[in-house]
Amino acid sequence: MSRPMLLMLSLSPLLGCVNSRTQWIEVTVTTTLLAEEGLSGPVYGEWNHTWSGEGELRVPLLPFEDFTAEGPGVSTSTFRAPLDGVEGLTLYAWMDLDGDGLHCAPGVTDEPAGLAEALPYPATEAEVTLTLDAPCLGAEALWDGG
Amino acid sequence: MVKPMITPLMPLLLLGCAEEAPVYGVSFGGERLPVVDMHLHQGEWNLIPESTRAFLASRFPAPLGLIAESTAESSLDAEGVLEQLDEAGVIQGALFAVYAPRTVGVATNEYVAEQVLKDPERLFGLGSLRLDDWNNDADAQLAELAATLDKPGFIGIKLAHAHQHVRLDDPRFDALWSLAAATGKPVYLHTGSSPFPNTAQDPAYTDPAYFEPIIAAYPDAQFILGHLGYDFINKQVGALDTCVELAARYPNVWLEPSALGSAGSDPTGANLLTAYSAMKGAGVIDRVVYGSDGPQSPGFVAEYLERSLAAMEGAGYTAEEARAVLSLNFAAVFGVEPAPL
Amino acid sequence: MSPLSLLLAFVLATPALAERPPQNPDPRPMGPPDPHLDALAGASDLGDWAVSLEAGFPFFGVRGQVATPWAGLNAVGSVNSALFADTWALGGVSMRWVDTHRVVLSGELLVGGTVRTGDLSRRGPAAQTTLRLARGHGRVVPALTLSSRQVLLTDVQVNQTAEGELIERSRAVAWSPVASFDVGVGVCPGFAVSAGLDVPWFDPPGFSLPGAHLNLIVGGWK
Repeated sequence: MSRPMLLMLSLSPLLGCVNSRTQWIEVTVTTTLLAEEGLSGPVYGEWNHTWSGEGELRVPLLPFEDFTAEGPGVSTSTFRAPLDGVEGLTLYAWMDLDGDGLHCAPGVTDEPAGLAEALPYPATEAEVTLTLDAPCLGAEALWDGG
Repeated sequence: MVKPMITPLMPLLLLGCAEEAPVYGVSFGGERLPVVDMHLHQGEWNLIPESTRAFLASRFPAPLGLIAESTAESSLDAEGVLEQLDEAGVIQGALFAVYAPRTVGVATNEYVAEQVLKDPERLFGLGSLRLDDWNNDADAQLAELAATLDKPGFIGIKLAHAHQHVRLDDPRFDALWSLAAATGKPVYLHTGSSPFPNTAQDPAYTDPAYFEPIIAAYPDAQFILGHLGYDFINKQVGALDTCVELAARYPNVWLEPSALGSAGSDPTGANLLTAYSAMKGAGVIDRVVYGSDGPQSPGFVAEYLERSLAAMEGAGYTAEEARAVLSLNFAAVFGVEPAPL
Repeated sequence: MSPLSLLLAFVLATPALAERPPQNPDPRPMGPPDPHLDALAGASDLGDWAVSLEAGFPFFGVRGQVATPWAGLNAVGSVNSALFADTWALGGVSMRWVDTHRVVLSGELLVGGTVRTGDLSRRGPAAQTTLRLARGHGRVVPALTLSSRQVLLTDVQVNQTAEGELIERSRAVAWSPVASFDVGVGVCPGFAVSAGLDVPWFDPPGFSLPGAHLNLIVGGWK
């Protein structure tokens, strides 16, 4: 074997290196937001990994993507979600009744929130129905253990 | 010829190599003052989430980030912390348990208890608890925390709403505040934003104004507002005014100016000076408790103390006011003996 | 991994070269082998070789070079690691551009790969270009080395979409230069040592701690 060939063979495992490889899914979620009649306002929130981490670091509800909707009703969202090391897709949302961009700023007690899991997942199309009926609670307060 | 020249030098060389006994305390206003650092972290590298480990490793001076685990672990156990305290002249310190698996990771109560026992004269512990499945395991978490607080050296409770993803006004924790009041163990709260990945940065998680109803509802519980609501993302004073006003209005509110004045978060030292000036101006120096948020990196505990002394000096603190901040207020809020010099 | 086989290839090539009739295009006077000069200058005289072992903070490594009969080129193999966590295995060629009694200036081009482990892990094909300036003679040889190292980082994202699996590749080049200053001393024919200071820059623009190292250098026979 010639020396140049030996050199190339020696280097070949390194030349083919990929730095990182990550898995994603492009998911379109049809979201139905329900709220008490008469309540209206923009809805904000986050898409969460339902579970992430391992061992003592395993934890529910890790937000990874913002959610917005003009108000109660049906809307669709398309986004890319990582698949490595996470499970499930859960939406947390709240309605901005006073238009200040804050969920229940000090003194405000009526902006409703809700939490619901999108199914099926992982899949490129999923559905979720979320009821905005819990005033001033964060996602963590609405988590019932999955 | 060489030997006679070297021989007289040997004792000098040996003396140079010998470890010097630490000198505790700092000079301020012509007086020697003891120092207690109420905010120290330790833990295990593998109980920090991957994204945060990479964040921390990238902040170590290269190439130490390449061996972040060994670099960190050498300073994250009790021995490493005590070395830093010695270097800074700090006589006592408090180690935090942390349960923030999304962000800064987990340092268990058991681990802190072990570390405290390595030097119980100098180390205290603040226990903590998981909040991420509170609707299902609140009783178990509270029982475990209560048991931890009964252990030797545990003097308080550590929470970090932004890191633990819990709103500051979350109404579910009445039993926790009641436990703090009943046991007389103060609750330390992280306030302000945080540079760590996955932190809940919304105001409901970072702005101490959201916590006011709980402060008002539990006058027998002591609350320490950590970092003075500092905005670590934009390196601005953030909710400083809110923290100072809360301390002025509520006698059960204490203030802890850690981390915000570090070289990374406040390069010129102007923000730390503003903070110390604001606390003096509001007349709440008797409730300011010194902490660094170390060890972070080698030399951090000493450097932070130096920057804090400079800020106090700049803000016109007297020696007695500095003594209160550096040690006496710690003894007052946690109900321990004042630190010896 | 193949760094050892790389070095082996270069070392195995040496006896064949050593058997060739002496050809000395080097304008410097012929003399005993100067492995420290050769190693620090980055290229050996025809028929010569040099291997240096480096240990220090943060770098550890081994580097071998052997003169080839082609156009004054040396074949070079190098495995270098920072704290055994950032390892570069490279092979290529070097050449003396300026070679006088006073100075030797050489250039070097190596290719290979790098693997970084730990929390800042990365890997990819890599290249290194180096300039070396050394004193051209003497028992004590100071030398300045400037290296520019690049690694090509290829990140693959596999996207599941309604239309099927889409694969996206993004590429970036990370640069990490190193400057070193060495002083080498010939101990006896074929054996030398050098000590040096390193100014690495691992992940610009972040700060990097400076380092220092010792080299053991062996080589020789014309």
